[in-house]
Amino acid sequence: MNLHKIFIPTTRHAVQLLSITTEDPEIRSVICLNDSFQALPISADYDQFVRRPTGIIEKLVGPGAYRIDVSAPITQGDSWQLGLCLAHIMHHHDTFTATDGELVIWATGTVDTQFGVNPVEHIAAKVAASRELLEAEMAAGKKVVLITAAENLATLRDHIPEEWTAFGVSSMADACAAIGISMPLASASKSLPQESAAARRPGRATMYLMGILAVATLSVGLNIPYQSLRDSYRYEKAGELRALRMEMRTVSRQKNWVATNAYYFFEVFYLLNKSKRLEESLSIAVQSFGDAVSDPQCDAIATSTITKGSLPLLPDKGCNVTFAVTSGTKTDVRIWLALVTHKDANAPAVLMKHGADIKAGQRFVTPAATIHNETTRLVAVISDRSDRAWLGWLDNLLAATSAERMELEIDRLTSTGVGVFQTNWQPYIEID
Amino acid sequence: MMVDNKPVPDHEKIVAAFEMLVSAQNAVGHVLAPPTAQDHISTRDLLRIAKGPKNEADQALLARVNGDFVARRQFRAILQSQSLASQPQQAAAASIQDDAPQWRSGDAFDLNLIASSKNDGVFYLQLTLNGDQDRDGISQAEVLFAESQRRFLSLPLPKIMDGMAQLMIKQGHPMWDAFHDPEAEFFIR
Repeated sequence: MNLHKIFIPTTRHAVQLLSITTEDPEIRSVICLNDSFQALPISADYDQFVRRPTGIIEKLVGPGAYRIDVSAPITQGDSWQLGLCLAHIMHHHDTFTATDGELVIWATGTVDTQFGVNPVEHIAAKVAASRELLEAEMAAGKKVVLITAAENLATLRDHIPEEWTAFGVSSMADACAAIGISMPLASASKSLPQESAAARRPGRATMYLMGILAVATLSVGLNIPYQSLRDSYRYEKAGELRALRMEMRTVSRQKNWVATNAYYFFEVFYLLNKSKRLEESLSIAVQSFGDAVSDPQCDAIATSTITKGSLPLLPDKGCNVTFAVTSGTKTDVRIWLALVTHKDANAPAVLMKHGADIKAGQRFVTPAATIHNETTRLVAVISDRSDRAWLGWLDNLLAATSAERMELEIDRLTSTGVGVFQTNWQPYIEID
Repeated sequence: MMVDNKPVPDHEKIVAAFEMLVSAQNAVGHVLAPPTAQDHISTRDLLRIAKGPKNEADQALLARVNGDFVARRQFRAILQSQSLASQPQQAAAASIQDDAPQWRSGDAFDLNLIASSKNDGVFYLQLTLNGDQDRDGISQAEVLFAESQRRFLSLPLPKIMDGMAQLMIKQGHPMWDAFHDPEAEFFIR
């Protein structure tokens, strides 16, 4: 059996993965510097990358907690995901080694929840920082394979000798094929595109109907996690939304069918319903703010109310506008409103982000900002709970570069009772 | 002429009183003496390191606190009043089986110690907040203190996420020993 060594490049050095240890499921996955016993700062992100429901490694290979020892620090970013995902698959196939592998793999890229491989930045700097090590491996007779996202391949090719082997991949299956290993079987069906959302719903509906019958016939109380539901309700009331998600996750892990369904009703009829109600209570009016870029077309949009799918057309040079936000709820709410531009698809930039606590009947007006037709996204989030727990999820949503990532963050927000309103300005396309 | 050497009663009383004064002065002399720059630990310094030793100088100061009975008592009082939460002495000795999960429980937080499956002497020390506390407030904690065997130890805490923070410690680390000392008290600040 061929054994493979794997390196993850950073802009400072290439980092070798020295060991992968499957840990007690109670622990959070960690990446630590070899012999230092110090968890690297990216460990929390790695744990999220591993553990269900956000993580993919547990879905791919089973266990949900690992310790990885590495040769040098990895301090930030997500480009380690491709290399670590490959390492886990190799570990699963018993082809991972830290010592004398026949194949040396250099991999950089991010991996999404559908096992798609996405591009990263600083390819040139990473190649430069790894070149000496890779040349030494080649000189020692090893076969070296460089793997990036397909979008990064051209950049990679520009910075490596022609005879080096490099692959641009768009999925983990492609990456596995490039090094001659197979994707673990458990993930194969999960990675089928578009299978999940549409196909799961009817099945769920059937299950939930059966759940109602079961609950009715099985003298209700036997399996319903009353204490857990009471705790979840209390967490929601206290705005401890992370604890709420953790509780929900814990119950889902118990594989108790009745408990899972009880939580489904809690989520759908209480949390999602609340999220929808809050979202629908939002009213956002855009107001033209006359100044140097004022334009008759901008004046025409004055006090337009924003609704999904009907956004005012803007002139090419954009409009200076403010947003007036009100909520129809009778309770105090916390609202954040943000504008994000997607001019650079890989690096969304937050143009504006403002939040306010408002009471029933009050409104808050944002400072002026210039908006353009070109793929500007408006995101408004509303909750009657503290934003301490969910503000981070909003930030993730604003920084998301893929539809999957956005869906994940929106799911986090809505499944904990937070309302999310999102819409885009996009250029009108005229068809001749 | 005969000289009577027998001391008069008043003289004996004076000598006894003088001896008492000298021994009392010896006993409290270091307290009454003006502090020198080297051995004086100010309350401000104690308050500063109670927020968590940030550098080697702070660690050295904590070591000095450990060697000074009065400072240790003051530092303990500061931790008791200013910590976000504490875990008192345990009623019984915790398990000392290295391969089993080990725990200490308290009203505010529990501590679990789990050995790494790599069997290289590394343990995960998990701090888990308990439900009824002010979790948002306690989640801001940045340092874990332990008082064990008449000395204070500290470790910086990673960010508490979803009510839990996890540290890695080596078997034999002072904090590992403190965990196994049922008389140890833990504070988070």
